[in-house]
Amino acid sequence: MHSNKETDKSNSNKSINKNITLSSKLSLNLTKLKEFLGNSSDIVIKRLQFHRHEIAFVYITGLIDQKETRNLIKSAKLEFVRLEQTSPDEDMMKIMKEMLSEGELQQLTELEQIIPLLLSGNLVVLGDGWSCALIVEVAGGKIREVTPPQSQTVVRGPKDSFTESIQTNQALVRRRIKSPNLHVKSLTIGNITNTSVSLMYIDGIVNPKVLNQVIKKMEKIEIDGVLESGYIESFIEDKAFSPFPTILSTERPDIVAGNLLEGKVAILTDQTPFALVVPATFFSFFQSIEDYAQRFDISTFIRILRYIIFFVSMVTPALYIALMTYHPEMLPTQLAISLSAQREGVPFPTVVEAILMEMVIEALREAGIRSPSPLSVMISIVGAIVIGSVAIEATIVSPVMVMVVATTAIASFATPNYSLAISARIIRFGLMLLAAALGLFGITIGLIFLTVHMNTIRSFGTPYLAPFAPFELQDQKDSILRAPLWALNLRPKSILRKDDLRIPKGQKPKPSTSMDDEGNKNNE
Amino acid sequence: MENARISPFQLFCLVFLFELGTAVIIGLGMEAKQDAWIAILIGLTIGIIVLFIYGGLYQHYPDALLTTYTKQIMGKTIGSLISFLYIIYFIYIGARVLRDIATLLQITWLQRTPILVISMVLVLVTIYTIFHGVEVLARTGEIYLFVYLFSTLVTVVFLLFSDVINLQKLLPVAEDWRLILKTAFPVISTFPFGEMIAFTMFLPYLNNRRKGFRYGLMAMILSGVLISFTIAMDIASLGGTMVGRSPFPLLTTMGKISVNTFIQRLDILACIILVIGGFFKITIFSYAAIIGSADLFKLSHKKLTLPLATITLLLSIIIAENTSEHFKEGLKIVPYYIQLPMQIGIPIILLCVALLRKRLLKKTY
Amino acid sequence: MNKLITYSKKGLIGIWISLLSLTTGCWDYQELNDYGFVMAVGIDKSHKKGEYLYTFQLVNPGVITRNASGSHATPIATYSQTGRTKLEAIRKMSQQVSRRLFFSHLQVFVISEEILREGAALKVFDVTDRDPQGRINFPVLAARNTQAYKIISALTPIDDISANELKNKIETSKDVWGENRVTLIEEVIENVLASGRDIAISGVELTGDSKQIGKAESILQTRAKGQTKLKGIALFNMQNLVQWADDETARGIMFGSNKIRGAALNINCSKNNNHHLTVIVNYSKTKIKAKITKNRPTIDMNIAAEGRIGEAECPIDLENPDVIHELEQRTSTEIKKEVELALAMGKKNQSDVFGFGDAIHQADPKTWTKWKTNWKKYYPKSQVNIHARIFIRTTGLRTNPYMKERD
Repeated sequence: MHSNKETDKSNSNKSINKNITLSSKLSLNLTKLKEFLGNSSDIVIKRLQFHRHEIAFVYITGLIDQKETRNLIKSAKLEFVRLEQTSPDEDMMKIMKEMLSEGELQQLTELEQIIPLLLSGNLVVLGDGWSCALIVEVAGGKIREVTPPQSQTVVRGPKDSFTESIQTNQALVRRRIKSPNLHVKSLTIGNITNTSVSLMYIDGIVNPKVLNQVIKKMEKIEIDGVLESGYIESFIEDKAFSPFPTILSTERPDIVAGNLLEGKVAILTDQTPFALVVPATFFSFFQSIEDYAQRFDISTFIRILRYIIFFVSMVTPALYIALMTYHPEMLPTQLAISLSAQREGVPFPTVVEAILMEMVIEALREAGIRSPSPLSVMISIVGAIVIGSVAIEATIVSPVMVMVVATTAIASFATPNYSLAISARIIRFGLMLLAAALGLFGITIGLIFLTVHMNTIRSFGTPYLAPFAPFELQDQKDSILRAPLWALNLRPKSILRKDDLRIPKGQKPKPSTSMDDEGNKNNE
Repeated sequence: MENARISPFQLFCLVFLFELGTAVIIGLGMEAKQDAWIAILIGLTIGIIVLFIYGGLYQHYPDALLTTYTKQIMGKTIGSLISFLYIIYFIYIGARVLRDIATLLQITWLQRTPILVISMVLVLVTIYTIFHGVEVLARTGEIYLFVYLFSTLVTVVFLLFSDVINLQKLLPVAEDWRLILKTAFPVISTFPFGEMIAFTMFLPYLNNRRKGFRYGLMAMILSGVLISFTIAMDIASLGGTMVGRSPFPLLTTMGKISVNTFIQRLDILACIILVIGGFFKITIFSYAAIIGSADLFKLSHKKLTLPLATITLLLSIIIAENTSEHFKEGLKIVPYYIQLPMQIGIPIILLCVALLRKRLLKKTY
Repeated sequence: MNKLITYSKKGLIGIWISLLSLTTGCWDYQELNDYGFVMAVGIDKSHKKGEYLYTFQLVNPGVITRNASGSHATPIATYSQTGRTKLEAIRKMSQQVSRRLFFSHLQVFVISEEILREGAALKVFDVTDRDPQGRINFPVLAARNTQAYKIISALTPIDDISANELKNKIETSKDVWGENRVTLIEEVIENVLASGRDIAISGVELTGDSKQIGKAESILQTRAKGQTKLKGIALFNMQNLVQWADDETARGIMFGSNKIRGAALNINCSKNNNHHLTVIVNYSKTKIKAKITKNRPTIDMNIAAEGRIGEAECPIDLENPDVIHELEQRTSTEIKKEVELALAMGKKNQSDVFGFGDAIHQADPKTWTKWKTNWKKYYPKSQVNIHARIFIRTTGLRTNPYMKERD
């Protein structure tokens, strides 16, 4: 051990508190390295010794590309043999550098810097008599293939989704935006996990204020580990106490690309197949990438349908309680009589019945997601039989209650964004209690409160309900409605705060002239 | 004053919701019988003239609240006193509006629920809104403008479909001009149009002065026309006598909607409209009072929100013993002894003194 | 000072929290199956003076929805209770019925002729008008030659709930036959004391064996015993029933007050035979205009109708436009005759059934304020010009009747 000098902690890596510089003795360096990593058994050290030269390859199994590493070691062996025969006095390091220079090559002396690289799948080459290490990029190992998206599927549109590898994910986005202005900024977050996180944005389009805010917030994060993008999300949210998500998470690279083009910032986290997109307004959670693949009239219709569905999934049980227990005069006569007959003999009050059934549905949903797949069939059968028929036959719940609950459940599955669907589920229970206490007045007040609350939220400076509050006429083309693409001339003004031309005007398609006319035109 | 800005369109929304607030649902101007709608239009005209007094004051003091420039105009002592009076006035009118809404809700939906509980729930949301400041209020206004317009549209379409509008009931037009004028002034011109005085506490927040005032004026005209239209619709479908006997005629009108016997009982929509409009009216008055006292006592408005809102709540309960007393006060006492001096009297004096001061200042130079 | 502020703040928050706990009261919470839905209300004279007998028809939801064939319960049940006011009877009813009476789905209101003739029976609507849950857009009927409780106790073979049956009956009949006026409660409320128009209410009577009314056996056969039937329109002078108008006179009332939605008029095929021809009226619009001439009201009544030939049992050349014109003429005369009949009956009984008073109010408000209080004196003196005009647009799917070809 040559020196033990303390340096200022510019590096985020704080677990290695001793700054150790490599010595020129190979065996000493190797012992230090092993010691440092606690003699972990997944560290592989391959030592090669020929004549007076000795080098060692250090890597961690599983993190590197086996084939490539083996080839490297093999060619190093050959080189050794060649050296022995021709010029045994030549500098080994120079030759190794030349040999390895095909890949990314780094030359480092501090153990502190070498260790993280070793842990992220690099090959470390040490040599006797060198006081530095060569680091070769050979990351590989078993990585999940790019598969079709699981939670955000489309009928028409690209069928790839993010994987756990951040490099793959970045590449997936870059393949879509082949522009020099697509910038990537990398950070490492997590004292122990050292997770790499990268920001992607298109320079010149992105709102610099938003970008700075994101960077500032990310740099402030101090946490031991980042295992999912949600860890980062909860640190950079604008409003901590709110059921509404203010950050869009997606597993689709095309959604990320689309949002980057609108001047937003994407955050990719290593080992997470979900990217975060900021800023995200309430209305952006209702947009699907397919909206732009379909014709505009169809997309508009489907979008409006989604808003209705979201509203339905939020208020239906509350409305049912209010109508049944406070305002039966509002039901059509035939319906009122039939509902009254259905309630006959049901032991629970309507509210209790509704909350109970909602709970059962939530439990069913949770069971369906968490349980091993062979069991999920079983769960759906039990659910269908128990709730669907036996409960009604035994007059424990009324048939219409089952219908209400089923409608709500279907509506909440149809909400395009999962995190928003969850918030609707929470709000639903609150509204149910309000309806039980004050009827429709309770629901109205609850909804007013929700609107006020949503207006107090901002997502990285953009008001949550933009472009409706504050109202931005230009942005109405792509919020609830979806205008034809050639009419979406500007990028979202409520996020960028400026007029940013995106699609030049005057591209509205005109009926093409017939072949003959075209021929005439050409003649002219 | 908060460090906040609102856009002209946001002011438009707030004025629109504020004016319609409770006026659209109560039988405004029914003393003029089937000519109530004319009385409303005349009341609107007077209201616009009054608005220009506030506009004049705003032009002289574009960055100051009403409570600030009273001190600049009348001197510190008298000015503070006037400001204080206005704060009390805002609280009182806010409490009256709260009582209006709570009364309607108690009559229609929640007969056995104590009025205190109804008011309290409303005030809670008001507190939450005011606590988060004027920008949040303004943005909420924008959202509810759309909700409001949409439900109005739905109502009108359904009314037309259910064949209850009989324009004959509006005849004879302009039967008694004296009665119409008496209804228009002071009752209608002070409620709801003169209540624009509350917006003297919002105008300094505007990020575009000229456009802002114009938008406010537009909102007032539009809402006045809409109120007049609604009352005409009420009369055309219910008849003058029925509207005269109903404290909330819109409710009954919407109750008559029956499209194909399935879409019925839309009076629920009327109540929702009232709750929304009333919420904005209470919030705007309370905000005016709270920001005014924050300005007067040099405190932050967040600290004052809870106490002043509590006062409004309690005041709304003790203001009257029963609805008849409440309505009688609203028609016979408040317009003459409270609204007229506060809405027209003092502002005129303020404007005159301000103009005089300006002239004197010019002469000295 | 700061301490004071924190204390008062804490106190305020405490007050709010204690207030919040109030909301758990759920005062107005009421389960739907605790309500008894009242479908019809009948009012009769009681034995005691100053009291009425109120009868309520309640629906039995279980029987209605389950279509229980084995069940012996009737789909409806009626209860009667006397009281000085309607609300007294309603509340007292809780001694008889297990459920809270619920009036929002009321379908029809029946009042016996007896008390309508005495007047002052129409005041009973106040509770319906005042009740926030009540609705006032359902029809009122007069029980003719019988008691109201009998009418609403009747069971009906096709509809389960007889109140619905009664309501549907009057609406269908209004649309196809045009002799029954649908008078809604709100119209009664609006016009019963307004001097410019008198109300008119359709009558309903019992047919068949009145002893069988309300028995389940009465509907267990194809020709049901003991049924209700609509008959005529009752004319009112203010709140007193004064006379019944039947058949053509009743339709005259409908034509004159712009209430015809459909009708079938019989006329003779030609002047000198008595074969019949029926004209179906699809549309009719009546306009009433008033003016004052020599201190006397002059009323112009214009009736414009449209229709088609529905049935022709006679040899007639319907391909000839002139024949159609002649038929139009005769139909118009028929309409005019019916309206005149109705007007004569109205004038005789001082019943301003067409609303001439309102027309004068609209035309000449000043005169109206003078006349308002004793309008009933001026009304019979009014000069009425009736113009009726019907357009026969088509002859249906055939042109000439087959009776013609045989000649």
